[in-house]
Amino acid sequence: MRSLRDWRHFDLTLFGAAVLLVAYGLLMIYSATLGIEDGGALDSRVIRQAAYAAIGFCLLLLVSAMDYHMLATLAYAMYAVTIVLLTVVLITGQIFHGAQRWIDLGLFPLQPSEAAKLATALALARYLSDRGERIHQARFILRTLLFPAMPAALILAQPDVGTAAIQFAIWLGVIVVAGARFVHLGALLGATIALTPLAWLLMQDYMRKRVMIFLDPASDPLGAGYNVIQALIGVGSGGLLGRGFTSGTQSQLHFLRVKYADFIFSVLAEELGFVGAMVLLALFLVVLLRGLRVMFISADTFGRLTATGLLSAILLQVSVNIGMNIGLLPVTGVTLPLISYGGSSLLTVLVSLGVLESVAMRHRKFEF
Amino acid sequence: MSFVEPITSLEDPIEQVIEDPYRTRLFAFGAVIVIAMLALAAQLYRLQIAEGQKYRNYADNNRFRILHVEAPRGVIYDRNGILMVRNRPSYTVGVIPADLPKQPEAILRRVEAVLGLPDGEALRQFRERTTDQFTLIPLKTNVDEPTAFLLEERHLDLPGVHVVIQPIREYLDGPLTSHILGYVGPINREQFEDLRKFVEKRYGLLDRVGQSGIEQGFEPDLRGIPGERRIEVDVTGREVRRLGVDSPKPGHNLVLTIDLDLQRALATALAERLDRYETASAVALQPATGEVLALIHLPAYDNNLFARGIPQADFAALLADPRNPLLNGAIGGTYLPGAPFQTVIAAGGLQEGIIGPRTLIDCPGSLLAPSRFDPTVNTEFPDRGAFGRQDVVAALGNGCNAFFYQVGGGEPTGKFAGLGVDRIAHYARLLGFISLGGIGLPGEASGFFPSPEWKQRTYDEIWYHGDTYLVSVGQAYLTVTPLQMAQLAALVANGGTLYRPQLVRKIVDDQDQIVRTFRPEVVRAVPLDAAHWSLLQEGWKAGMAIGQTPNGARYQGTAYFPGATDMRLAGHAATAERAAIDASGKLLNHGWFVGYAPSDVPEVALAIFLRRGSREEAVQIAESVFRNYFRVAPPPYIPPRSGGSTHGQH
Repeated sequence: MRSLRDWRHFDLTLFGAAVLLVAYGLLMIYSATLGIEDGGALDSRVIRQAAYAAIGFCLLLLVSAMDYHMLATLAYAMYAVTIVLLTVVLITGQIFHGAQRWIDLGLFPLQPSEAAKLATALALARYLSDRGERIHQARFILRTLLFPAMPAALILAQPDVGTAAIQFAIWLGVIVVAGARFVHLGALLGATIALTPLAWLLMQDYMRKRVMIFLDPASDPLGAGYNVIQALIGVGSGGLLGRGFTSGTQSQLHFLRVKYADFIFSVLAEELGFVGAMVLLALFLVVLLRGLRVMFISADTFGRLTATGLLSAILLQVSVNIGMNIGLLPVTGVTLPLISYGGSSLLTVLVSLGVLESVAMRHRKFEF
Repeated sequence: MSFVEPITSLEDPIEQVIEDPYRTRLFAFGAVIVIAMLALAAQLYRLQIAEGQKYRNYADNNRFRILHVEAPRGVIYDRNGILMVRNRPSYTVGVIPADLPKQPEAILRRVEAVLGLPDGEALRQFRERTTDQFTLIPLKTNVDEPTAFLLEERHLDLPGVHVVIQPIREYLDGPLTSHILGYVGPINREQFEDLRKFVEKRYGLLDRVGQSGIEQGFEPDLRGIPGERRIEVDVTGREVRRLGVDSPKPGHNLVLTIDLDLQRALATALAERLDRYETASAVALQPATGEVLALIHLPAYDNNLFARGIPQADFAALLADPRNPLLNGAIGGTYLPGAPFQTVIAAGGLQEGIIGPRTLIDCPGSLLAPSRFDPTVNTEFPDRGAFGRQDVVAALGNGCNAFFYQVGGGEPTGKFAGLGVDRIAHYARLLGFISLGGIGLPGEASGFFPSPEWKQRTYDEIWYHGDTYLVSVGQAYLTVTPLQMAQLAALVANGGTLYRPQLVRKIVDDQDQIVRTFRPEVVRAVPLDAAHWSLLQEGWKAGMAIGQTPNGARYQGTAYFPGATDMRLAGHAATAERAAIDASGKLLNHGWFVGYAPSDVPEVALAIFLRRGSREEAVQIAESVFRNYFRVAPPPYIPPRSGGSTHGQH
């Protein structure tokens, strides 16, 4: 049995770290949604998130069992569907927190921008693995830029800068690993820097405001800078060991807003302290390094580049989300993978890990 | 071969794949992962370990608050222990600036709508009255319960809006005692500066303090010492845990000298025909102590309106009322005294030896005084009637002008000199006029006494002899307050001791322990021979009787009232005439009654003033009030006999 033998190479460390992270996340969502008013009853969001986790791990195992080469065949089609969905969400999406990100599928709301991470990574990997020898051509690199650019433009229109940026992170990770020349990468960096002032001009007011707030949160302590300051206070007041689980005053007394989603890290750092935060970072480091191992051992370029794209997305999300919670980066709507409340995000990351497992399981092409 | 051995770990040296272009790129990727995690860890170290204490302090500042707890204000009793004002819990709705969003307009508008405040009122209050971020700015007091509950339920939609239970003053008798008690209202800047010296009372800019009456006069006594509640709050400022309480200390209670029954009886009698008067005042004093038994001025306002937070329209209506219901005319209204002022002339005349107990002066019905420029031209000074030869007792009883014209201003042809305007002023002052009585209420007036210089300055006219005549019978220039008239009655009744009118008997704490007792306070023993006081008292008794003095002078008192002869009363009544016609074409006559009872052992001295009333009305009111006070049944009806009787009230 070929497939049974494959399971010997199922990366249990990666899977285990993911399970711990999701459990960690559920605990923190429980704490963050604990109402003083309803006397500690389990919030429906905890149950929803647990249900998504269960579905997510099933999908992870299912995807692991699938040969990822099937995904190569489907890559372009999935990409096309994602573009269509992103367009639809722009037109009919529900309004939520000022941004249109959802499609109501009846059963659960779907966030196509999350699925777009997978689609872009797969499509890029397919494209580059088919034409690997052309990676040294500048024109070719510019052409590959279309893969993240199309979904990014649609996501930016929602508007969601953070998730749009992830599209480019996927692309950057993939072309670097695919072997793009440093000259080209340098030129790209230069062009990006040169275009920054233009970007400032093109930004919408709220984006500029967020950047300004990032640079100086105290400029608007009760308005836009409020959550940044409250998140910082939460993290800092945690100290070494934290205020105790469900005992963080910043989160439990509602000084911190949207704490179960984008700012859940602040809750964690406040209640569980530096130690709790280090445990979280260590778990992420395990996931990322085991993912890097998959990139090393992948049997083929498509697998390697797919793994690169998916891992890039996770790395950027972890960095950007924690970074904004601790005042290193401006606030964007980027969730903390496996931890933040949100079904689409959780499912996307777990399916991504499933793809990584699938690549890991099939790294030995010529097994007797 | 290179595919045979899988890479199981990063540390594995794999020489065979050295040419693989991916390998360096993957190491670079790994470096990026490690660097990113290290950067996050470093920042976390800085925030949580290096600066953890700083952020802990910030978090604590977010959650701990010290709330000011208002102390119950002292209550006020009448002299018999009847409660006059108490504190009633009421809902106050206000905002705490720190809990409001940065743009509070929308929320303030919503609160306005719920509370029924005018547009922009909440925002104005918020802007003008914010002192610090954590002190409640009251928007409306005395909010009804359904509204308070509604706001409580909606607290999540209305961050920063708080409903607190705050005691408000309930004046149990409203207008009956409003001129005595006054009211409390929001403190103003000057009051704050003034009251700050009572450091332990911890006055704040959002407090409510006495704005008038006893509430203002005894503000520091009535105010308690506020407490503190240290609490932990959530982000909307709602208390989640109580960490400690310093209980407030209630203010001291006052026991007034007021006799609420007498107050009510007087007010009822005055109010009966108030529509005919513009205003009416009455003051009742205890002659032996100076204690104020009743103090009324009508029309009065309902001080509960102020306690509850007076709506702008109601306040405007009070201000616009031409009768000025907010002013206490009993202590602040200055009026011509009329005949009762003759007592001052009598006292001066006796003491200065101008008249003696047996001096008789003819009262032919008027006094003719020759002009100093042309002796053949006489000016006629009117009198109430022709009384024949009068001694001082009969003249006082009759209110005989001719007698007092001459004692005050001298015999017209110069046979004897009078007191003259300066000495009249001297005696007026000795007997308590032209100066503040010191009742301790805001708005007391001193009255006025003219002088030749004043007349020259004001009217550019010299002081005529006739002016002294008019002053001597209380009919020109000079003004007195109803309180001063009551003091005069008390002074005559007690035989020469001028007391400071006193409103508060004692101050007690919330355990009923006496904090302070007020003893009668003698302003002065008026330097007048005892025999003279007896004559004045006889004259006042004659004012309420019909009879004949031992000198053979006959009298029918100005305040004689056939139905009152069964009570031992002494007093005067007068119609003070101002020779001026007001816009409505009516003469500005004022009715006065000034007297005391019982005439032998005086218990009550009383002054009644009816603006635009008559002396007859004033006497009737006095009769009914005395009858009620001393519980004397009305006599059976006896038809009055002509000629009168000689049995007085001796």
